[in-house]
Amino acid sequence: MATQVILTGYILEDSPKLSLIELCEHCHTQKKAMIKLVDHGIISPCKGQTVSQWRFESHSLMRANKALQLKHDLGINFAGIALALELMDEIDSLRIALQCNNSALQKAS
Amino acid sequence: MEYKDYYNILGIERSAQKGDIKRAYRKLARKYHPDVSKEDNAEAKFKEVNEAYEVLKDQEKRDAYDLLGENGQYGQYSSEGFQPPPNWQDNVDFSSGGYTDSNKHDFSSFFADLFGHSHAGASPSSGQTYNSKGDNIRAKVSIDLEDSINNTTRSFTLQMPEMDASGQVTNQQRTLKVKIPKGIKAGQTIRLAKQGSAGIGDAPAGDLLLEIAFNEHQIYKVDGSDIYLNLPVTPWELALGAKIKIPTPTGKVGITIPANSQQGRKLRLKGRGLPSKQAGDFYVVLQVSIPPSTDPKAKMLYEQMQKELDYNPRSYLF
Repeated sequence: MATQVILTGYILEDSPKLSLIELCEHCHTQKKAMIKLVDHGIISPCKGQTVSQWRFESHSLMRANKALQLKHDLGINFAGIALALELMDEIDSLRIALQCNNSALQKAS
Repeated sequence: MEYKDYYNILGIERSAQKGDIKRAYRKLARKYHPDVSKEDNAEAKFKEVNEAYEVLKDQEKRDAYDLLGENGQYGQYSSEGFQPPPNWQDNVDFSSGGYTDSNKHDFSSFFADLFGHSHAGASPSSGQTYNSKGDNIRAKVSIDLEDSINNTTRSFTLQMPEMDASGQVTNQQRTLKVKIPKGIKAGQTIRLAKQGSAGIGDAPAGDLLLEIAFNEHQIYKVDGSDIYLNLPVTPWELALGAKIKIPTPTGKVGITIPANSQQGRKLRLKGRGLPSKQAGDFYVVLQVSIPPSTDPKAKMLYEQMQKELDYNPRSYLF
């Protein structure tokens, strides 16, 4: 039985901004693929005019990871990934709205 | 180890052609992809489907697998479960390596025992120093809303890849106690540095990235940092206004329902949502609850209102 150390992490999305290189290192991918994700609007730099100046909010890391995973697992091209992720976001927000409405209806009935 | 019927997992015949295998895989991968699917056990199913495809898409591995016979009939069963037939290793050869482009962490011990050995052969030859940071591991975990508010410690049991002395990677169950960062939202990620896959050589381990989801709460709904409570109120509390006590995740709070409120009105308690630099808000949504007319007194009052009030909620329809 392993000793039970309490692990303390931090919220990835609240961590400092990442450069393109750092983002690539975290995602184990090449710059070329990451630039494609930016070109398709899947992730966007929060500042920087040129590629070397780009800085990304750290939530881009999860987004990029998810996109690359979908590309690898399902063989979808970048345009398809962009569409799939947008639709998935919409489904998530509709699901939350539906949950709020459903419980209101249940309480009312 | 337990025998795995890869043909059955992909829902195909043993005689399936390459094209059939690919089509079956793509369809199931879309269905069970953990980022897409909301089905229970989607992640486990997806890993199973990937493992089956990893073997059946590769003719050499498929041939080796087929040597085990239908349902593993040529294998041996002992107290340790399924074992391949004697000399099976001598008859197989995977030039492309045991693992190709799939994530080796996700595979079963059945796969690792049969096909994992050639992976060890792919590591650099002895004498060379080779360093590479370990892979990051992503996992989804569910917590309660209160865990995020109260900064509690939760235990999670995860399947984590571990490398044994022979260099073979298998999934081991690992229980981790994790302090939940205050104010974390659903969809955000806890990053536990160096808790991912071990690094190669002197390189550090990868990180463990825990994606957070909230368990459904009995009375609250959460949207980002905002918390919602559907609050049942009487028609007279809506009409006349009232001061009432409501529950919030941090304790009871008194609120004022303004007179002449309507069903569905939202009242905002600023900053009483999930805590953070920009704390979320707590919303109370008023839901009218009408006393049943089976009660004679209620019925009498309804009849009185019917007679005396000139109110038509449908006037705008005509």
